[in-house]
Amino acid sequence: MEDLQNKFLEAYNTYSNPLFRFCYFKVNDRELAKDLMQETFTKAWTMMSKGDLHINSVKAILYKIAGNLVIDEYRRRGRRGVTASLDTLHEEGFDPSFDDTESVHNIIDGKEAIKLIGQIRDPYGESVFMRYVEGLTIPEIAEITQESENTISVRIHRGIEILRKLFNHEQ
Amino acid sequence: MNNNIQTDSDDHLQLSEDALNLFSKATMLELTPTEKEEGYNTLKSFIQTQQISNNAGGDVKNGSQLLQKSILSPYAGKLSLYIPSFIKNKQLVYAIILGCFIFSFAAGCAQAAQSSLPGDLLYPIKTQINERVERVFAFGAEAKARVAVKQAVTRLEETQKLIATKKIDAVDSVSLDKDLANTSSYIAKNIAQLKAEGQADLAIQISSDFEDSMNTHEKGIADALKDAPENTQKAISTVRELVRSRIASSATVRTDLEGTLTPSNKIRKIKESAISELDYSQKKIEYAEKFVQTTGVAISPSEEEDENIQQNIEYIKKTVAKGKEKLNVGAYTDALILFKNAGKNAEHIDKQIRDLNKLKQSEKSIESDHVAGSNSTESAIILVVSTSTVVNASTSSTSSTSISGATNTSNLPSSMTGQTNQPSTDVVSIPPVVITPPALPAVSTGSLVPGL
Repeated sequence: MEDLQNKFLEAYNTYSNPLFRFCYFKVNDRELAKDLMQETFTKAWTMMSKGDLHINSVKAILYKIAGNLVIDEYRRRGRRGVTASLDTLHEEGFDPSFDDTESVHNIIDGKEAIKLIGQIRDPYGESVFMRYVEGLTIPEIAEITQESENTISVRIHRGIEILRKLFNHEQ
Repeated sequence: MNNNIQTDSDDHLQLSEDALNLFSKATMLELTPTEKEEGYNTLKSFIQTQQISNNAGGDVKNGSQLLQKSILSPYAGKLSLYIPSFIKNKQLVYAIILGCFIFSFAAGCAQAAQSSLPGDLLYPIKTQINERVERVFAFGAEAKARVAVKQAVTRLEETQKLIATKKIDAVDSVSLDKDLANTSSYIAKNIAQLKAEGQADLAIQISSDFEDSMNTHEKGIADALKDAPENTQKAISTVRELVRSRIASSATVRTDLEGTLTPSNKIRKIKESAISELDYSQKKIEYAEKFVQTTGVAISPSEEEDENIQQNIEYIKKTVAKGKEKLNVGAYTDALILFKNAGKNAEHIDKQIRDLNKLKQSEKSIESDHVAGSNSTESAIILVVSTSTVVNASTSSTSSTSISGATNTSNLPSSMTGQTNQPSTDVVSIPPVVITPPALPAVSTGSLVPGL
């Protein structure tokens, strides 16, 4: 049991940042993303201690749990209560946009970069994010999202195409 | 700007320098060292707290220590194990504790086995132990027949789950056929017993329920066959055929039973039930059609889902029409089965439409709030929700049980399957904010079987 605990805590060290980024991508709120990430791990441990999952499969499970917690949060508070509004972004003095070429190239903040990626509409944006920011493989993304690998490949392809148009200011 | 994007394969897209730069910057978002350490410590405490509460439930290794702590007399001058006087043998106490532990472990295994599928480690416990116990404790022909129906239906549900999770290879069609044949014979034997006891109406009801359940699952398998990859279609067809043959033989048993009945109040009761089911399913269809007419074409986020809802409504209407034909010629039991089928499917559509309606209402209120409150003329951020459906057998909670089945229970198509039909317009646009509601975890666009 102690071995399992250590392995799980090790998983926290490995996946806490990627999961935090993933949650931030979904909710655009740092504190909420932190809370969701933490809850992901506690839920995963609860399942593991009941024998419902194994340490070897923890990565995909963590992402699935995180995704479901995001959905629960949306349902509980409504979309507007969870995700950032334009007003909030203005308060932060920050307004990322592909229209402003200079701001795109002067991005120094991970938050800004993630918000720009968030402009790729889902499900393409999510697939692109998971592939190129989180570094997940296509089979892993397919397992997490319960879609076929072919579907994920297509989404990534289209997402990159949308990103290219955004950079080129194409409509 | 370097626009050098070439598509090689999905896994080897050559990204522009801008895209690579953007992704690289995105990875810069991290927890601060303090935040990470706090999270780590919080998690560690949580794990240890859970460990303590698990141990308190009966850790045999520390059993004697726990026993000592729990029943230590507060008035004892020194530490000693207090055992009530009627228990002379200390070892008996430990044996009882061990027995309780083994019993609860076995009970836990039996419980866990209930959700297992063919190929799982605990599946033999489910079929050889749990179900046998169930049969042993069914007294009387009626109980025995109902238990057999339930277990046959369980076999079909397991098969559907395996098909839905693309594990058709785990389905042993020979064993399944044998199981269903044995169960059908067992049901027929007990139905005959009921008839001999003068309970032919009950026998017909049980036979109808069995036939009805198999029809529902046959439909689910037929739907799965439509979307199945080519290499699995033969296997799924085989399963479908053997279910159909069971339906046919069950129908024969029922028809033979009905043939022995004379016109009586019992027949009238079946007729009344059929009419009641007809009314129920017609009301549900009316509501569904009215909703479609008043809200327009776009019920759901995807055209495909809309089309499926329309098709399902049409299918239900055809089933009802067939039932009416049977009713008119006096085949009341056939009519009852058809109306029951239509009613179940209409319920499913009704729930689907009500849930979609609620989402549309909340979407409208969010849009109108945003238009009223927003004063921005700059480009809007379009907030969309990634709506991976929950893969879950039990859809009671998306967060707590959604992982176990992955389900589970089914692979429900996500709303994203409709995304291929979306126009390829650019994301950036002026307000209002466009929000895509999440897909409903419990809704299947293909199958009319709730929960699948």
